Amino acid sequence: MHDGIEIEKRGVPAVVVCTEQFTKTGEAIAQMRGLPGYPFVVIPHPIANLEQKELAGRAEIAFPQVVMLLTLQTDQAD
Amino acid sequence: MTTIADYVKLVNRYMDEDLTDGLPVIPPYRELIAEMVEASGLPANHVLGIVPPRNVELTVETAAINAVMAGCLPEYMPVVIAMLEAVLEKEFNLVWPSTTTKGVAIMVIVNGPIRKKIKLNCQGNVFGPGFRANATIGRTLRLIINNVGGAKSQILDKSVFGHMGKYTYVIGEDEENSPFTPLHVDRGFKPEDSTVTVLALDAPKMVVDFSPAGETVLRAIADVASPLVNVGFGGKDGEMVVLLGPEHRATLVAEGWTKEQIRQFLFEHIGRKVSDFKAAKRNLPFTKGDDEFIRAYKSPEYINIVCAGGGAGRISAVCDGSVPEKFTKSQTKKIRI
Repeated sequence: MHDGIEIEKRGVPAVVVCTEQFTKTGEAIAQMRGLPGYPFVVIPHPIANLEQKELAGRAEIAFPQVVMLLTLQTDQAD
Repeated sequence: MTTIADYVKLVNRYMDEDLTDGLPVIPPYRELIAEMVEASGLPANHVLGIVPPRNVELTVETAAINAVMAGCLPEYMPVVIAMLEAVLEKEFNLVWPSTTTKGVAIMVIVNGPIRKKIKLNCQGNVFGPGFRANATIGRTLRLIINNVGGAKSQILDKSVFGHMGKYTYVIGEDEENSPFTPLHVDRGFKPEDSTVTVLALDAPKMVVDFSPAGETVLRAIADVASPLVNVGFGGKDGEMVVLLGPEHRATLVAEGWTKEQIRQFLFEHIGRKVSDFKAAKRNLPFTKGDDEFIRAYKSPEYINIVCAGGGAGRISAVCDGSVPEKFTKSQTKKIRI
């Protein structure tokens, strides 16, 4: 979350992806950084122990949401 | 007129607002805070550093408020300040121990004359209850992580289990009953200096070994420090602490072991044979013969040897769970008295 916000502050579009176990954590960090409601992509947990094929499945879940957030107008992102 | 009931109501408010570790705190009021600031020897607005993950400045006054809440006495403040300066050093990387799923706690080891002045326990039940300095100095750190850093449990502190050291994990080295150079002298300080050393570690594991020979004791300590998941792929640049209990130390001293010999022996024997990895269906990222030994640590200096604990019982303790230095590196700070 820190990385995504920092990258965006430098004018580079970014999307934060985390697993559902870290939803509250992500929301709390966004709030701390003064961006409550900062949108991010949430995918199923876990990631760390997945095989290549399962990881690809996670990427497929994330992809449309990533595209959606990258193309979202700023005034919609509240 | 303020009644006891009002006081309890106030304490409960701190609890309700999640400003405690789950136990009642002393409500910080102006006079106590001022006393605590004065005991630090620093101005109230002096900035000690930036506390992650909220990344806010920690002033001496804020440290004093949390020290009051934790139940510290003013004479603990020099230790509290040095402890905070140590954990706020860049290389300690406080954000990692504050938030990691690994659930480490911050062990604080105090050396030097200040231990006596503040009655810090270095002996029996050294990790246990009953000693105000040990209980409240560590608690101050936990309250600051919670209240200033904002690393609340289950939200930003994502420990899977955590451990009891997250309430307090403060010990003193029993220098007076140790034949070895104390930790702070190993780290380049003078014996008459008082210091605080901080390391992010798992809970202590007990090494109960009644064997009468020094080498057997050291092999038992090495064994407890060598689970496969701790050895990893070997050669780690992460730290551990071995607490030598009085009876084990007496055996080692009687046999003429020096601290450096003990450290070297442990370095050479903490680890596992390649065949153990294979038997556990665990792959190593390199090829070696079955009988080759994979040492857990990169060099002996990652093994800190400290003397503590109570007189009766042939027990030492291993505190490890080390991670590479890029995540966290132990720090030692001199206490300004």
